[in-house]
Parts: sequence; structure tokens; C-alpha cells
Amino acid sequence: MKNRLKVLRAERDWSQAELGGHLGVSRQAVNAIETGKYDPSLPLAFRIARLFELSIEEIFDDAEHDDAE
Amino acid sequence: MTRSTTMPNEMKDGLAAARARTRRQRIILFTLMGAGAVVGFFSAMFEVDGGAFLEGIPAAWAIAASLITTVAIAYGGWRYNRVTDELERRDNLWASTVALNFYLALYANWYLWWRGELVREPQHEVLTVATFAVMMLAYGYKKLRP
Repeated sequence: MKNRLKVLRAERDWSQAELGGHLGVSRQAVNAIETGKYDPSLPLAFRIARLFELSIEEIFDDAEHDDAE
Repeated sequence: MTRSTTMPNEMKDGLAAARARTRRQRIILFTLMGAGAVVGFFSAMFEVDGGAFLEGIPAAWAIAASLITTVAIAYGGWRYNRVTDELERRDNLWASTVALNFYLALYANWYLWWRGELVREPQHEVLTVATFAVMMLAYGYKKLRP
């Protein structure tokens, strides 16, 4: 699943470890989400959305749903 | 409150939280390794010179060692799952599933071949070590390819 996490993180000048610290996950988890290798759980997606004060849809792009339309 | 005034504290909080998390994980892992070292050291100390693996260890130590092992696996595993994140838990679950399937297939095949008098009786030490090795390989593979 594509997402804007890397851009949002860069806007705040955070490292992956710092963002991981805010979210309670490891740097490796942040990296895996950013590169689209791991889709976060719904609770983690909500934590990400709350941290950046955005909705989940504004961060994560459901490409499969877009293709279906 | 603007973003520029809050960012330094946020950055410090994020880094501090990440470091604290890593520290908690290391404490648990080193404690588990310590428990394994204690069991291994005393078991080797008690075993008969030139005997088979762990041959001749006292019954009292066998009970104590099994208690240490059980508590370390149960409590340590529970604590480890509390401090790890969902990606780590997924990797552990994946590796455990691969290892369990390997164990079931290996034991079933070995047992059948033994009954067919093709090989010797299944050895639980070999089964355990092989299963652990496969679990480590599966975990390493998942770490390299999330």
C-alpha cells in the first residue's frame, strides 16, 4: 500500500527512529511501512493519522480500490 | 502553539522513547540468555564425565532447570511481546509457523521411515535443534525481506 509517511516525516525533519519512538514501533517498522513492504494494523494507522493530524485516507493510498473504480 | 516551537521537544521525546524501547528489549533478551547460560553451565557441571548429553544430572537440578526454563520461556516471551512492535510480532509468528510445520513434517516422515525400517528411531535432540535452526533461518529471511 502506497503512503505519504516519508514525506510527512521529512516535513518535520524526523528520522525513522524518532518517528518510531512517537508511534511506539521500531525504526525497521517505519522503514517497512514507508517502502510499502508492510501494511500497518488499523490501530497503528490511527496512531500515525493522529500524530500528523490527518485522516488515514490522507496518508495511505488504497491503490486497489482506485483501480477497481 | 506552532510547529516550530514544539518540534525540538517532540524530536527529543521520539528519540528517548525509541532508545527506551530498545533498552527494554535488550534487557529482556540478555535476561533470557542469562537464564539459558545458568541452565547450560550447571547442567554441564553436573553431567557425568565422558557420558552422554546431560547424563547423570541430579533430579533436584533437573527440576530446578526445568522450572527456570519454563519461567524464562513463558514470562520472558510474554514480556518480549509486550515491548516489541507489530512488525516484530509478525516476523516471530511467521518464523514460528514455518518451524512448527517443519517439525511436524520432519517428525512424521522420520517416524514413518523408521517404521519402514529405513532409518533409525527419531531423535528428539536432532528434531529440536533442526527445528530451532529452521526457525532462526526463517526469522532471518523475514528480517532481510520484510
